[in-house]
Amino acid sequence: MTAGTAGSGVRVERRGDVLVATIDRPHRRNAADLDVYRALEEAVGDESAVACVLGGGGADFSAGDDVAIFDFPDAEAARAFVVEVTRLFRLVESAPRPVVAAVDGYALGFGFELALACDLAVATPDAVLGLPEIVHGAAPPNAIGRGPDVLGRGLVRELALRGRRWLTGVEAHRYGLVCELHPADGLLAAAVALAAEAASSPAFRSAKRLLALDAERAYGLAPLVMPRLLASPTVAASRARYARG
Amino acid sequence: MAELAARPPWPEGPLVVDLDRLADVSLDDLEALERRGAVSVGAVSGRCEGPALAAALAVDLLVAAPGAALGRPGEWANVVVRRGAGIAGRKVAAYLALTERLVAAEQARTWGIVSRVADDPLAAAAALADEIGSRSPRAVRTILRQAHRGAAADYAQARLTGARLPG
Amino acid sequence: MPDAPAAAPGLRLEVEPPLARIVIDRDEKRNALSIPMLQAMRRFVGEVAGDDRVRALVLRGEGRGFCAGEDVTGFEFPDVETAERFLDGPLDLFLALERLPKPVVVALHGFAFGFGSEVLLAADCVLAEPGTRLGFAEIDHGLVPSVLVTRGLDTAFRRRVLELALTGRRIGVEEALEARLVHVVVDDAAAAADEVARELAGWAPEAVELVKALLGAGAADDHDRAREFMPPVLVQVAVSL
Repeated sequence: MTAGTAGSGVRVERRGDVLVATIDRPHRRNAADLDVYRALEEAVGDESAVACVLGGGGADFSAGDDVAIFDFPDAEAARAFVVEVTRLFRLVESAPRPVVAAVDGYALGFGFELALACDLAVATPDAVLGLPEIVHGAAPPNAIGRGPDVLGRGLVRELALRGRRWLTGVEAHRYGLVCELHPADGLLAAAVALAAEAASSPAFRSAKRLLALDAERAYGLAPLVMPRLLASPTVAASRARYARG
Repeated sequence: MAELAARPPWPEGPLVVDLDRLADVSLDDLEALERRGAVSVGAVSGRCEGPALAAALAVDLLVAAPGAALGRPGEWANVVVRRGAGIAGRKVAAYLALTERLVAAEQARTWGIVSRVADDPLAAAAALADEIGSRSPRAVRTILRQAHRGAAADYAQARLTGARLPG
Repeated sequence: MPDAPAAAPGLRLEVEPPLARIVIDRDEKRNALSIPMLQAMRRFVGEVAGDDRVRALVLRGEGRGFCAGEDVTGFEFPDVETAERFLDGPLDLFLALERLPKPVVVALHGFAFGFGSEVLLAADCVLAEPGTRLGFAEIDHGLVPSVLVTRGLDTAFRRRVLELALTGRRIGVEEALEARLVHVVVDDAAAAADEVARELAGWAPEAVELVKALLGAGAADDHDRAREFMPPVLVQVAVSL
């Protein structure tokens, strides 16, 4: 399923030389599944674009991983899924072009981790960012890997353990996760401008390479620790509750 | 009494670095600034870019005037990425290193880059340097060494990626 | 039915499954922690770790504030060995808290100085009342806040750590929030801490263990570094509070 075609859950458009990929599954609050991951990977790897902006259609960035997909028959299947999502984050960090997150509405779980992986993030003041995985008996290893570099370890620990304590866009800006706040109707344009500016910076490539040097450490945890947890009964029970209501 | 300097070589003892007058430095100079055993306080009133921005990230503490603004690293982007991340997190460091945006003093204070906002940064920096200079030298030296532990690796990495050569 | 609280002078452990609380109760000394109290706290953390009925730990103080620091009045450290032995107590406690595979929620009010601020770096959630004052005044005595300048760098970041450690300045909750030492400001920290702890006590234990283990991975190394650089700092420093 290619990006931009009906069913992939991701809309792709151009603003000048900047590619804008928008997660578009409003009925699932832009929760991500394998099709979304693959479409985003394609968008981020598009060599014809000088920069890439990732956003969410409708009122949300992404409410997380679609729990409907957490239907793993065994740990090996869970591991394959985790490897795929980690692959997306690695691609975002290693892409030789700026990748900017435009966060409006909810950025939870996967959405939060995607914002962490991007080079830069802009948001609306009312955006909501958090890590609710623990509520479902899961954990956010990619956020644990990358988050402390952005927010500091203590704050990541609090967000990951509380699960339901979420940052507003204003707080995310105060803590340096988000570098600019914009109203909803100007958010995408601001993200595109920022991405284009970063692309034209002569030091961009080497600076981004430096930023991504420790991606292995940051994203190496998930495939090691997640499969057993995802295949656990607690996560299955939570998934069943979610599916019902 | 704290000494005032606008260029290397850096004197020993409590130091105020006048970032408005700092024209150029080498990576070795910045590393030397971070290796000192006494406190360094940067003072900036206006635009803090290029080498001054890199030096602003190397000093221990930073005092800025309300109208000061930090950004535009130029050749110093790689140093800004590494040393900036340890002060304000990766995203803020990327914002400073990858764009030409300027961060105003108060926002820089919220982000932990600026320690104090003062109308007379040089005077405030001198007062701060003197206050810390009157503390136990051993305690100060120990605190500085621990806080700057990552500097050598960061400057080595910046040299390897070649954006700015020493000397 | 809650267990009868276990006690050491100035410190008690309350077990009320699924919560446990370590309460500092020595208001006449502003909840300053003596060596016996630190040792008791370390024992209590061990008990909490081994009690399967307990799924979350609250740390709080009675009286005027949370904790005014370590009570080391009149202490001298004539040699490195004495200093090392002294250090083992607090550093082991910090490590035990970070390694506890159960959430640690701290309720602050009044004041949190020295140990009272350093312990926040080992906590999972810190709730503070609006007027709380915090600070690391070790430098006033020629000392160094060792947890702040090792473990704390990854949480509060370099320049804030330098400012707090070098000036020994007292700060309010707004600055403490910016420094990421405090997470939330609430009117009644003790009540809010119980509420948060109860919520966290309901999470799947494997998930909590995993999150804490992943984030606590570097703690032993950081504390080992403190064990190396602190003794010379302590030696021949006469301390009074």
